[in-house]
Amino acid sequence: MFEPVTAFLERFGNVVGRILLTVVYFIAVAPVAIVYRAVADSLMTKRRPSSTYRPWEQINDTLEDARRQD
Amino acid sequence: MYILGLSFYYHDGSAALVKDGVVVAAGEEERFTRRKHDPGYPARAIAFCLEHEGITIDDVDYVVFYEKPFVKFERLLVTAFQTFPKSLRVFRESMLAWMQKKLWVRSHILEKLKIPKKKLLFADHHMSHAAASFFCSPFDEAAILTLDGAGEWTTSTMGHGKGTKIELVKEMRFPHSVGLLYSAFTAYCGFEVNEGEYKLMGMAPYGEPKYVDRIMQMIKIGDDGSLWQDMKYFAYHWSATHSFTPEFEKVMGRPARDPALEDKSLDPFYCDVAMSIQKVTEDIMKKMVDHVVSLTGCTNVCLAGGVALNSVANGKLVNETKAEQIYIHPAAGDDGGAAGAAMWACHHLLDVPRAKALDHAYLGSEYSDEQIEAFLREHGIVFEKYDDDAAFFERVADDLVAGKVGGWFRGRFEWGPRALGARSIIADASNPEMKEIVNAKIKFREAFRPFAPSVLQERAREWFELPEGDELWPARFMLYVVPVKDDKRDKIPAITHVDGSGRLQTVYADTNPDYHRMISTFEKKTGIPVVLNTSFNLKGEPIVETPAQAFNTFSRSEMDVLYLGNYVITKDAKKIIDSTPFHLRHEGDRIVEMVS
Repeated sequence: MFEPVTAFLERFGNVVGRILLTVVYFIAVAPVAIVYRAVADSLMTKRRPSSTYRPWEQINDTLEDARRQD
Repeated sequence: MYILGLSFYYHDGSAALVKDGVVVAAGEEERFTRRKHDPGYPARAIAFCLEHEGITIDDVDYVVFYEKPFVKFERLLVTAFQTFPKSLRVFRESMLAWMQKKLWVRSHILEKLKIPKKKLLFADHHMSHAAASFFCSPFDEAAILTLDGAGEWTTSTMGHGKGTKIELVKEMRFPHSVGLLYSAFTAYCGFEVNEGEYKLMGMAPYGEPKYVDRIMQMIKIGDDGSLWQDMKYFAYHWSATHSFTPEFEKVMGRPARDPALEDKSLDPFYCDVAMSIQKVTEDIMKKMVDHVVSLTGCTNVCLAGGVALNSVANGKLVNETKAEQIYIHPAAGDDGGAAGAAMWACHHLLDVPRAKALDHAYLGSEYSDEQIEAFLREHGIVFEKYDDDAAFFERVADDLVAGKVGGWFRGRFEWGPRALGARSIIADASNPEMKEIVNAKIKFREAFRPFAPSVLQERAREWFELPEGDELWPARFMLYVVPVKDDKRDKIPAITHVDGSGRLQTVYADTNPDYHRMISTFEKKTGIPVVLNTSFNLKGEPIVETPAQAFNTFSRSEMDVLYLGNYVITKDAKKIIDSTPFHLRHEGDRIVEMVS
């Protein structure tokens, strides 16, 4: 009995979520992105270095480090 | 000490249980849920692992997730910023998935397993790959190379393993990725991404590497094998649906084939493209292997990550690079990340001494004779039972000689994507028509795709061109494609690909004695120590796990006979057991799923 209602709510939630994320994209992401694009090349799309290998910098060598998600 | 490794919410959700440094149980969730490449939380795989050891989650010392979710989330945000405004759709779709599930990995695990927070750890994605390969390898010291589509930021690493420690030295970062480059060409040639890469590899030998120069217009390869892609040709970093741009098609000279058309023809142009990208991939891997050997001074090399499943490239590394021995984990992709995460915590973090190398992949569930017989009787399935093993192997060998195709279900199922003689479809490799029969009538898959040979380890060098001195670790897991010896090719045509190669599995008497004995019996009758081996599933179906699934797949195909343990069921007994879940998945991942 509740299954169709749940399915409807899930679909409704997804539609609303997409609308909200579109708004977020143009209101919140846009200003940061415009500045970011101008100053950064994090994806290395403009530079062409002789090697794309870079030093491994992640530090995750203790139990404390390993409990973090970042 | 028990450590449970988990990978999920990306590709192939999996669980692996490590006890005192040894992987004792492991399985992909798809085997249990019957949804191919199921990325969901691996509840049933976890339950299997714990049940296999007869323990509860309270007996587990640590649970380790195979990647750092927040680092990947950062990459998605940065990529959205960097590719604004084209990234709207991929931002929307990926954020929706992250808000609903992926951001809450920690709370999902804590809630479902009910473990204290201090027991939950997070490994780096590529460290999980590296650990899966190095800590399961026979090497005390080795160079390590990981390669996949994308982890958090990383797409490849080079490092050094010694004893219980791994030091990753270098990384390559998204969007420059050998795995994603290969997937872009998979899509271009009309196959599904994260599904059709094997098909592209199988199609390559029908072509020539005519378009390497066109590919090289879009990428640059460094002396160390590092890859730089001109992203004006690629779209997977900003598109939810496409991995390449119209400019890519202009360079290649023809439009992409649409996967929805299911064009399975061997169009010479796309075969040449397949061979060209295979050649480029091999060149990259060879340069990387040479560089990591120089960097570390080690000629033992551990490979990991999805690209290490490119068995054609693997087969050339020992002969054509500075590497002398190679080890590849049987589940080299993200499924193996579960085992790697657990092994990393066990050895690298907790300094538990290393144990024997992982020399087999039989880590899944198994069913006793009593369970099999109970299933057969419950469903009124007519069977013959062989109490004498020797008589049973004689029966199987006789069936194969008579041209029958059999479903072979015996022992614990295999960890990783390959069937290695526990859940296999087997047939006579000397029958020239067998490839067509198995492709068309049993697997229902593309006619050009080759089948693998299982060969007795002690006879392998008589039948295949194998590098001298190589201990052939990858061949245990069917991860080497090598030439079949010239004088043997016409003796085993069903497993000899169009270019004279075969993706061999070496069968060892100490790790799979029954399978070894069956092939030995077949050899006594035919003089051929090789059988055709393909995974026990239909196209789009996960490999079977239970006797019921094996029986249903047998019934849905034109297989002649089914061997469930020592029980033999012939085709007259076929019927469908409706209560057993059956689901086919023929589509691959969407691009947004592939990169986020």
